Amino acid sequence: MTSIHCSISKPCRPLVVLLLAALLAACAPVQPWERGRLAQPVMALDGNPMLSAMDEHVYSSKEASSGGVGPAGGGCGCN
Amino acid sequence: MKKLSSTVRSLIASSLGLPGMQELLAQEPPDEGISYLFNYYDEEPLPADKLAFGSPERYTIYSQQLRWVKNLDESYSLTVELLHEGMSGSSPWYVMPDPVAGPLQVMSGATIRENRNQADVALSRRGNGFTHTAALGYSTEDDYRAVYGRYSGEKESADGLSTIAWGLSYSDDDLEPTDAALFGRVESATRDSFSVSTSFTQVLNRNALLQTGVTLTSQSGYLSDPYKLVWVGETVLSDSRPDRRVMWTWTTRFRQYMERSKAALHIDYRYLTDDWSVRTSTLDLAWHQPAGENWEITPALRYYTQTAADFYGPIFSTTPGDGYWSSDFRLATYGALSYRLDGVMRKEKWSLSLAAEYYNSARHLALSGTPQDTPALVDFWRFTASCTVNL
Amino acid sequence: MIVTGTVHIYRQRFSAMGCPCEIRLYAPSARSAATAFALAETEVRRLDQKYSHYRGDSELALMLQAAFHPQGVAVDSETAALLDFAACLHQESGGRFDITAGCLCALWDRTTTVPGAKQIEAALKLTGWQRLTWDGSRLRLPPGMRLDLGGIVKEYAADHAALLLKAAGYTSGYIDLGGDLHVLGPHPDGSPWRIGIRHPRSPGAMATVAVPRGGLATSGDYERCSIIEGQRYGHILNALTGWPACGLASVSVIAPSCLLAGALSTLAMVQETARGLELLTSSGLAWLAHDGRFSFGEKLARILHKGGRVNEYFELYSVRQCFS
Repeated sequence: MTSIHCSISKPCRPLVVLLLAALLAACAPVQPWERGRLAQPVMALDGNPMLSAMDEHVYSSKEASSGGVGPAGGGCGCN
Repeated sequence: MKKLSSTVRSLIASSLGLPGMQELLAQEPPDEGISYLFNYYDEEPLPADKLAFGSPERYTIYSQQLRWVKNLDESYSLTVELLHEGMSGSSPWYVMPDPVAGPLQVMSGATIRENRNQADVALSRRGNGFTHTAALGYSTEDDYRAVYGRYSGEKESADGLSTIAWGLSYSDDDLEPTDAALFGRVESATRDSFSVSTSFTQVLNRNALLQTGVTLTSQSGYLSDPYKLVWVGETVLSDSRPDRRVMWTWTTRFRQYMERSKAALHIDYRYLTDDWSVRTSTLDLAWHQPAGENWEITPALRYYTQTAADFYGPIFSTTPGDGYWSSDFRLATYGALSYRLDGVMRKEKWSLSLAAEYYNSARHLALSGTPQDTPALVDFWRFTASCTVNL
Repeated sequence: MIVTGTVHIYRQRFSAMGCPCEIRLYAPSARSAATAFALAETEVRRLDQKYSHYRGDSELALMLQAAFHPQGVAVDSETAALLDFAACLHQESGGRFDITAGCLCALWDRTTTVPGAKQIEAALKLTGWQRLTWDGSRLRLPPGMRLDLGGIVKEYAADHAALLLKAAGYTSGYIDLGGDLHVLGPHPDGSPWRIGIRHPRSPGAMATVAVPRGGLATSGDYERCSIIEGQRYGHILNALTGWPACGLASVSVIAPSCLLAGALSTLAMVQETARGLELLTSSGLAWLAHDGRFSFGEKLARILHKGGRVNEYFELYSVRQCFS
């Protein structure tokens, strides 16, 4: 097995650090009564799991990538 | 079990500040119901100037999926999914050199017609902030059979603002390519895939949340495509790929609520790297806009870029020393842009969703790597309709 | 302390928060039960003392005095959380359920005559959540305003005392504070507690519900009401109009917490009948109500799982057909 390079190209590195800093700065305490927005359907991480699974199935049978968040499902002979 | 109204949800959310309320207001069970999804997928025909010979008509796939969610009691839920897909069309077979036009794609002449059926059963258990899910599935078609299992778990923090999740899955696949003897294909082969993943979700502030996760996948066995050939030197040989592939995937999802329009911006990024030298980046941007009382319209854009596997080439003038070669366009360097529009209507007892997508892949869309001639890069249209009835 | 082995049932009655209270639970011995009762009663009395609007020396009273200062007063986290909850109640009821209606409550409390329009108007001027300043840590009240947390503290006390008992290992029993209950867990054999709901107009129960765990709260216009010249004036006030609410006669809700149950039942009571019933029907929780006719929600009507296994479906054990 050849070694894997998980490399973020040099010019991108400062951008990544900046992005992380921006995210940390965005953290603010959330009061209990303020949670209403996070519960709205538009804010869902995955609003339609069946549709997302179908999207993933279509893309992964036409591209070299597969998966995203969470464990994979099954296989198919898609070619 | 009926869903809680928004009034009740607001009351619950605002009482979480009181000591002890978090443990009382236990995790809500999922909504029970039946969902149906229909997906129509149609690839654009191969352009005449890219075709060597064979049928330019590419795949058309109809998929239908049924999903049933039932809460067995206050802790356990059952999900059963059934899928049926019908595929027809010609597929890319091999690439051949042409002194004038450059590499051209040879398509299979006969139209392949195939059906695939899949069944998936999952059982979930909730309690003490944890949710555990175990699932088993089976997929079968004429030449391919997969049996798989999956376990995932998640734990919500006491304040409900963070969640950690983990999972593993295993799939055991068997191939028996059709017309194996006739075309000199492998008669039967096997492959398996094992993956382990973890993710972390954090509420950043009252308007935003972030999820980030990592997945490691290891595939082994017969990973070549038995239906594809490669032009190597003066002859045409079978597609030959390493018998091992290890992939790392890093995914981040960001959700931001936009006050003035009451909409949400979704930004998803996925980076993949593997030991075949493939590097891919996927960026998904979507704007979820509520319209009227029950509608949600979502225009979305997806940008994809990948760099080729180190044994990819449209044509090989000399035989590669390591014994691996493939001209499958899915392992090439290219980029793709897809444009999509979704519409969802949500009522108390049911919801309906419609989506249309156009996907276009091209050499010039690749962000990095050196694109080579890849005549079979595909464009497709996709239409999806799904509906859910709450029980 | 984990409760194991043979258990017996024990009962304790006491008076707190201006109503008769009762605790019934299973414990291995009388001494163990006495420890449990002391634990729960202490907690109930602590909250009674802290938030009583009758006593001039309660923590609430002292806090209110300081709240009139320009910078307001800092409150402890328990009070802050209760204020957050009250803010939500004010919003969800469209202003009708308002803890700042202390002056209105004082006007209608145990009165023998109907307050005059001018008196009500004057009290309304000193009412209104929008008039105070609450930023999550400091509270500032306009002069003359009085807070009345009576509508939420009793339910909160039931939940909190119940949680203390559960943490101490008592998992079978209930605590009842004048009609606002929290059930710790079913009988040791798994059977739920059968609790009667009073009929708003005639003596006796109008229904009995089987509750395995969670909160049960009842709001009624027959509790602490005044009947003046033949007209009934309940103790739940509509903070927008200044008059007692005159919609449903009685609402009972079952929810994982008594606070949530009580909040929803009061929200339904301060609306007019049709709107109140709509609120209950769409809630997704188990409920029953009486407004001249007896109604109950779909969730309440489901039968207990065959085989006696307790789940969260509550059973409507019996119903007395009554018309008033």
